Amino acid sequence: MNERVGRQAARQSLAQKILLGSGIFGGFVGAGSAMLENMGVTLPAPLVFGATLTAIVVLFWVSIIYWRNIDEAARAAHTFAWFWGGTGGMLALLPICVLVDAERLVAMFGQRDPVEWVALGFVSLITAQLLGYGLVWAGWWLRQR
Amino acid sequence: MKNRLKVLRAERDWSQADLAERLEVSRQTINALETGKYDPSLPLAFKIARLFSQPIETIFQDEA
Repeated sequence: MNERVGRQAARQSLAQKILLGSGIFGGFVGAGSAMLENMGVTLPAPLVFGATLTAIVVLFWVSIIYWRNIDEAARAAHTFAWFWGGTGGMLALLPICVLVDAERLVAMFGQRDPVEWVALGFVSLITAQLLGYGLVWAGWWLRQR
Repeated sequence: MKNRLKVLRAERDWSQADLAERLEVSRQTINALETGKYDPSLPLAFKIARLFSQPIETIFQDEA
């Protein structure tokens, strides 16, 4: 393997590991935050804001490294998957939005404050988009085989 | 779009991984190119043409 390709593969692999690690770390942070909330501990808002901002900057930076070190087919797969899977996932939520009502939401998740409803909506949207994205991304590569 | 990538690679007794390394792409990309399911960008097509020392149109054939 020539030196340039080796460096590129190493950077791509590192970026993939950091992206995966960030996801796992984010999951732990979310679970920890929920546990603290259940225990009645509220983290200071500036701390949460600062940690979120740092996470966004780090993830964006890692994404740039990853994007610059993958080849054009991998980029095409991500672009196609984000367009069709991401928007498809978003559109798939529309019927649910029409069907859902306040009583049903309260029955499912209990009485929440408005901030939590907003967060639930955001997480639902991102989850649907990521699911669609993952499915289409895998399908794109399977189709090329 | 059809291409002769697999033939050209076989003539040189290169594996997909060998060709991937020479073109600085992944082996999956070479596979996608060879099966004709992924069309390369112009820069990659030129790179392939330079690697095999052949004009682009002798490697890639438009099916239209």
